[in-house]
Amino acid sequence: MAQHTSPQNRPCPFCSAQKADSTIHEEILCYANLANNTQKDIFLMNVNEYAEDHMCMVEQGEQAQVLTQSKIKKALLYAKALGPDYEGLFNSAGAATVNHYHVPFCKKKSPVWRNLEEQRVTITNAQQINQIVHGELSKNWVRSRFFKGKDLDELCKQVYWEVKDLQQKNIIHNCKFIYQQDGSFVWLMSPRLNGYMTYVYHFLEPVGTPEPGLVNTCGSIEIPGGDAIMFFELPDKLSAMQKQIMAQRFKKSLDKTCDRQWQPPCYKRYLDLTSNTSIESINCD
Amino acid sequence: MQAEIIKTAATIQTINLASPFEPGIMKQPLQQAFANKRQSTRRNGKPIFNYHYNPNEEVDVFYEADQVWYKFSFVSGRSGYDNPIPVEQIPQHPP
Ligand SMILES: [Zn+2]
Repeated sequence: MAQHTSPQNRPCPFCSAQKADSTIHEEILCYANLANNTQKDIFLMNVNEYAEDHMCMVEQGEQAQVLTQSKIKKALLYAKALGPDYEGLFNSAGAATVNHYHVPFCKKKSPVWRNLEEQRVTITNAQQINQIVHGELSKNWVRSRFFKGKDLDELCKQVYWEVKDLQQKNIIHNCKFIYQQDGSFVWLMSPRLNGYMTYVYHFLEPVGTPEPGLVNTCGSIEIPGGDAIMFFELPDKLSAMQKQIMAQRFKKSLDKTCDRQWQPPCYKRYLDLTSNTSIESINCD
Repeated sequence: MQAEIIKTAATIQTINLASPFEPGIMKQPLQQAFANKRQSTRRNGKPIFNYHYNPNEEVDVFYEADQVWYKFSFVSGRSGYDNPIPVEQIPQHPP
């Protein structure tokens, strides 16, 4: 299991934020306190924001970047407290740059939500267990598990059922989540083969340019969101054709980093362990 | 000009979320906190933000082959990220 570590032998920025005389302490937007919280959480602004209202929820103390059932619940409660205009994300250790427990939030603009609303991406292999629907995003999107429901505790249990399996197998996972107007929560989770970012500058190069290897600079690809963050200038001319090439290369990069082999753990066992609901209808191959 | 700059507030607000709470209850105070930060300076007098989010640097692309949306954000002002490494210098990571 991942431990709290400082990035590349520098002091941990999120531990520094807790010290009143630090530079990062000046970047605190507010503290937040959920009922039953033993310690206030910190909401930090991102001083290099690349999304609207780009902020980060940070737990105090030295906390590893590892999800637990209660951490999933806390993340979703903050999504609700921010409201349906916001989305949260979680990158597990191996994909996150800092291994101190943190959950970024920003205005909800990831294309995945729009694709789901417009039914361009659908849910396949859907099962409904204890009022929670889970399944997978359809194949023209990056591989992602999908969970949706209004019963927060049950949703967190089912998400954690799968998270625990990913953690035990050391599989990196990226999550995006929202609270919706109708009172339901949605959690998306993509298992990944590696945590490296793609050399996104390649997205802009002309047809026929040899494909580069993977690097961890110049940009970032967000899964399951479908956002590419490019740390360079928007070219003056971006033809329709170039945009299609960008999308094609982006999709390829997303596919390369996502794990299509991992199978979620059996829900018959989940129900045996957690509830008395009828298990006859549950199919585990 | 100098007079318009508001010093960083010494006290940081705590938002207490009772159970249950209204959805979106943190939105307004956080947006206010963002607005304050945009007008504040650090203790050393420098601006707090290094870079400002700009929606004009976002490009939504509808990918015809799969009929799905992607989004590309061009964030040029972030220090240290402006110059992509030449392709021939790209380090190969182990799998
Ligand atoms: Zn730390």
